[in-house]
Amino acid sequence: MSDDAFTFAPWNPEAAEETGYSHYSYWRSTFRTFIKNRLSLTLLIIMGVLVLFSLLYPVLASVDPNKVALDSSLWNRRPDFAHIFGTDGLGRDIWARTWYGTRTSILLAFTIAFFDVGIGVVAGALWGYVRKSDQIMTEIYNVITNIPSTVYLILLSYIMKPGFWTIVIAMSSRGWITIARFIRNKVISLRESEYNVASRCLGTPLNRILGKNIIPFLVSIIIMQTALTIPYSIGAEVFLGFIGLGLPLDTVSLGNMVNQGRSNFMLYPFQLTWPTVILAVITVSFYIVGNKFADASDPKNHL
Amino acid sequence: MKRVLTFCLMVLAAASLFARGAGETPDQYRTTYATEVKTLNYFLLLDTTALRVAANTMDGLVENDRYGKFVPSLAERWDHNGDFTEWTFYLRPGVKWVDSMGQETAWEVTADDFVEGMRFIAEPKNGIKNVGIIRKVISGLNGYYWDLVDIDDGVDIGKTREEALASFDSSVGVSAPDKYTVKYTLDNPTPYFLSYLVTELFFPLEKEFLDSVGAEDFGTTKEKLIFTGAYYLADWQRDKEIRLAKNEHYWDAGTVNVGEISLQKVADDSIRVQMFQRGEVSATTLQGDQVKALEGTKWAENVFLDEKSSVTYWFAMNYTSDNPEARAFINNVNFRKALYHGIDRAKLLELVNPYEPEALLRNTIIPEDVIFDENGQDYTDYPLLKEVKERRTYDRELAQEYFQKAVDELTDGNGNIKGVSPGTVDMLPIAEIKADGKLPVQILFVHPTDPTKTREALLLQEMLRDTFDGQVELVLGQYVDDKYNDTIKPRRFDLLYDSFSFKYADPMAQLGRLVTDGSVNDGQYSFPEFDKLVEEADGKTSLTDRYEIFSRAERFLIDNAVIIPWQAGGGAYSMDTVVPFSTPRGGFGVTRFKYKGMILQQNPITADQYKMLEKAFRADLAPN
Amino acid sequence: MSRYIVKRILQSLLTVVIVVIAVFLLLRLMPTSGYFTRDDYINMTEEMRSAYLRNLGITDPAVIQLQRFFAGVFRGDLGRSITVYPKLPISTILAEKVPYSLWFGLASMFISVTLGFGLGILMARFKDRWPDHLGTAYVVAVRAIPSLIYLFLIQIWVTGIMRWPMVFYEDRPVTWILPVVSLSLTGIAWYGIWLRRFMVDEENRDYIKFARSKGLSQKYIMRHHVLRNAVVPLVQYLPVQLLLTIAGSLIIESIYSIPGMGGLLVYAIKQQDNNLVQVLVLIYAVLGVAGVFVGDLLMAFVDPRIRLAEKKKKKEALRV
Repeated sequence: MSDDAFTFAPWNPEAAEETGYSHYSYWRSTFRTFIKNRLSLTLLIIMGVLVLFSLLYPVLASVDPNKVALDSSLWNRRPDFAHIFGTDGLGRDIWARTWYGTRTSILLAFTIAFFDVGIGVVAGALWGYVRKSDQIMTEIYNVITNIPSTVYLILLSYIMKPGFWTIVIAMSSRGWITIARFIRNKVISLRESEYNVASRCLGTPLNRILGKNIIPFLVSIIIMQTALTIPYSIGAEVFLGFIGLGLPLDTVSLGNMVNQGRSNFMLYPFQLTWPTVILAVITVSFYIVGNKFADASDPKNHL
Repeated sequence: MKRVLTFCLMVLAAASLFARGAGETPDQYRTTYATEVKTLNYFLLLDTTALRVAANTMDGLVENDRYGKFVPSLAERWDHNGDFTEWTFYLRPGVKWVDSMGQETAWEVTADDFVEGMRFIAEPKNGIKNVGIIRKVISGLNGYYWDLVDIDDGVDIGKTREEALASFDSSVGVSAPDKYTVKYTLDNPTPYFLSYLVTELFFPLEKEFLDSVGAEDFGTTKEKLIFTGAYYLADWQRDKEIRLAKNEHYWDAGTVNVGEISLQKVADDSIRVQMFQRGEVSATTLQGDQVKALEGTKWAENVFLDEKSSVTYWFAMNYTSDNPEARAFINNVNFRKALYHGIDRAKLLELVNPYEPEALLRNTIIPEDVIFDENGQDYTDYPLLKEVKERRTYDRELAQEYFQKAVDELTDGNGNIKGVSPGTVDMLPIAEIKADGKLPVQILFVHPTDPTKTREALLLQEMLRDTFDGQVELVLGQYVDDKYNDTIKPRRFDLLYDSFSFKYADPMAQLGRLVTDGSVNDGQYSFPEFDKLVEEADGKTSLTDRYEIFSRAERFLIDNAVIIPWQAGGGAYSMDTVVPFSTPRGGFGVTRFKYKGMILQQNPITADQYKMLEKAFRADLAPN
Repeated sequence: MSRYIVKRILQSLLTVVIVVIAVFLLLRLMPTSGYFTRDDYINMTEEMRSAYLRNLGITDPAVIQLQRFFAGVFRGDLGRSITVYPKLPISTILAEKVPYSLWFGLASMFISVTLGFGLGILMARFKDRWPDHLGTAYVVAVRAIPSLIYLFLIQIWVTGIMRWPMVFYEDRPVTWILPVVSLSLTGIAWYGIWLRRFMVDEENRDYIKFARSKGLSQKYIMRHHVLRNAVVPLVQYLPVQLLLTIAGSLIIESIYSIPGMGGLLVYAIKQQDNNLVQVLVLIYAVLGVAGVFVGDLLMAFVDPRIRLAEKKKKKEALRV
């Protein structure tokens, strides 16, 4: 047997790929798995429509959600043609307020999610990747999760004026660390996972490992975290309104509407019901869609 | 005789109603409070909850009956000298202080206790804020008080603190000639002195008990108080319940019909009407839209309009605001008059009374039906005030006219406010104002956070926008806990409303607090002309002269719109199980918080029942 | 083992100290008027105020103040409240309030664990059938809808239908029901959903497949293998949740007027009662840290495979 019984095969990336699933695309599979589920697809559409509508409503309609009626006969009107959801105790149109409120709450929630996830992912990746940082980051994690969140919120509202950015800063200064920890754990387990080690042994370049194996995983986590942070942020805004640290009272937000509608709930139930229904549909949709997306993005579920 | 008849009528009415119910007179009056009291030291009344407790657990020398007449209480009788400067009270012997178990203590209520009470409030270190009301009434009190303050501030006044304290008995006009006689010496003739005596400032204090608990801890728990009133503090569980139980050793126990008063803490007021409908509280007031929502339900017949009180609400403006736009305009009399005529006060009141909001308005600072001169004429019927009382202030055109004048005087014609440079005004945490030095003029209106007050603020904002064509823009700011400490003291407002309760039967009680350094001069204005009138009036002893000059002073405030009177307290739509007119009546001190004599019925009062009893009551009252 | 415990205790202490220092420094940002009762403040001149602050030691360097605070705590002296309950010893306040939050918390925790485990087992057993869907719907509703809304509706409607009093009265046990149930709603959902997930994970393990092929009954496998292993990661969270029940629930205590700990921290901060804030933060930090520590020990105890010094993957996978 001599050496010329063998010839070196030329390095061919395409051919190398063919050992696996030749036509497997992570994103396509994720998407396919996701839309196979009727419920999540329906909710995604509903959610999209609601979000889009709330963002477009101020452009489309000219009703001022803050317009107070001086004529008291326009106060507390039950739903009719002029006011689809009725009016509140000062004659303000609840339909308009619902959409403006939804918009405020969604913007707030997205902003918080953006910072939470943005900072969380970067910090988490570093935390997982740079071994030396582990001890410090763990201590930071312990400290932050042990300071009651109300302490932050109230101190911040004293230092800054109560408003949109105060809530964003207060929420994000706490939210990022849990996401960072989650990402860190993922990074560690991914880094050590056998298929990545195997890929590396086979000589796959690092950028391919990152691009094909790690980043898709992280992106799906990011999307899921964003989706789950949103209902949480909306709920937090309502809660802050309850303890008197929410958005300014003349800002239209779901939290303010819920807290103001609560006082007359037994008398004029419609004032609370409709905003609440819209709110619940949005938060529930985000929650379910986020979870379903997480399932769909797990390659184990792709076959 | 007639009175006896009315009383029988009331009892019958109540009886016939509970015949339908469970068949038993309720023995417990249940009500709620929203924020926890800091202390129950009855000399330090900071909120209505503490007032309620003090009014029912402590008796003073005299009290008001249900017609508002001053009648004996711990004092059996009294007399005074010819010019009303010396008053002598003869105590009821044998009345014992009662502890928080309802047991008689070894201490008897004696004349010394009234002297000790005065000594306690005269000590600046005890921080009794209301003492200012009587400092200039009791002779020598003012000097004694300020001596102590000076000594504490390190000013050398030629005597030590001990010497100053020792001078109390000789220099302050209160004394105990014998065990059951209390004597007050006053600086000026004061025919209305009795009206001071229903305030907490004249309550007795048992020295030995105070020493045993320490002045610091007095009133911090139920064990650290003893009582002389119709009830004793049986339980005080912070953030939950304050329970008052009938004092079986009370000198007038026969007139106390309800065995227990329970004050339950319910922070969330939105469920109060439901709590009433389900029998968990004995009374509730209703907002305008609540009344409307009850129309056509079975509860509609139980809704009645309560009486107005002597409390007056008014709009205060900040003359020394950090907000240059508002400061410029508020110091302009034409702008203030524009507000005076431009705020449709009745419209604001539609939020509480949708049917006849005008009934709640009050145009004068001093309430009607409270102060009468020797001839029985009501102070507010003096010519200068009668006209104010009967006028209608809201006038859109007039308001616009005044506003135009103010604008002409204060701006350069291009909408720039003269002497105001753009900048950010920091009134945080209430608000931050970006003053651009241009019209519209921005004014910070500060209000509490509850839903009704928020709606009121929004309505006022829209109203001023509408009246002044968008040239007056209210910026809304909220305080969370405390109006005085969060906004007035740190000067974080341009406009707000404040209120005062009446302290004693003289215009000085209110007008004297509105002078340049007065305690309710929220705006920190200074009108020497007004101060002079008040001083002049206060020097007069003839009531007619006195009231005439006071009416000129009051008219000055209103003509210059220095403050803007808004509405009377009380007068709310209510549902109640207390038989109307069964409790003590009176506009001063703690009287309106007293439950002595209260009759409860099983079913809520109906509006018809209220009207019937009111008619009978008025008929009784008329001859007095 | 004991070396590990000592190390962990020291680490926990460090965390507590850092938390307290951080909050201490944050509180320095607030105006000093928080150290006065309202009336004292009004009645004092500027000199009197600064003398008062000097007496309190507020003007001392932060290090000395902290030293004093910890020394006081060490002696068991928590100091007195300043503005929320003027001059009342903080230990008295805690003694009055903690029992309410604690009893309500313990009752609801008991319900959460029993019902939550029941729900989780049910959902796992009938995976992808209607009990599972129903359970999921419940979990989603509780977690996604702001709790203020449904808690308020429960109070209004249930008390109306059952003719119960609307707020809590200590002497009427019927009024204890709704607060406890309301407190349990999220807990049931939490235990339910995680137990289901861990059980489903466990069921797909090879050893279960082996056990099944060996002919063990489904019931036996579920009880002795799946459930036991699925419970382990949850056990770790019991101590911290148990200890933190004393913090109470702000919304529930507020709407039912329960005099517990729920709103105390918020009031204390809003009214700038710095002493009270400091003590509360210290307590919550200690309990939080101690809870995690005990949780780790407990986990090692119920699962002999886990050695404490190891990284605990299951714990890390769990995100609340």
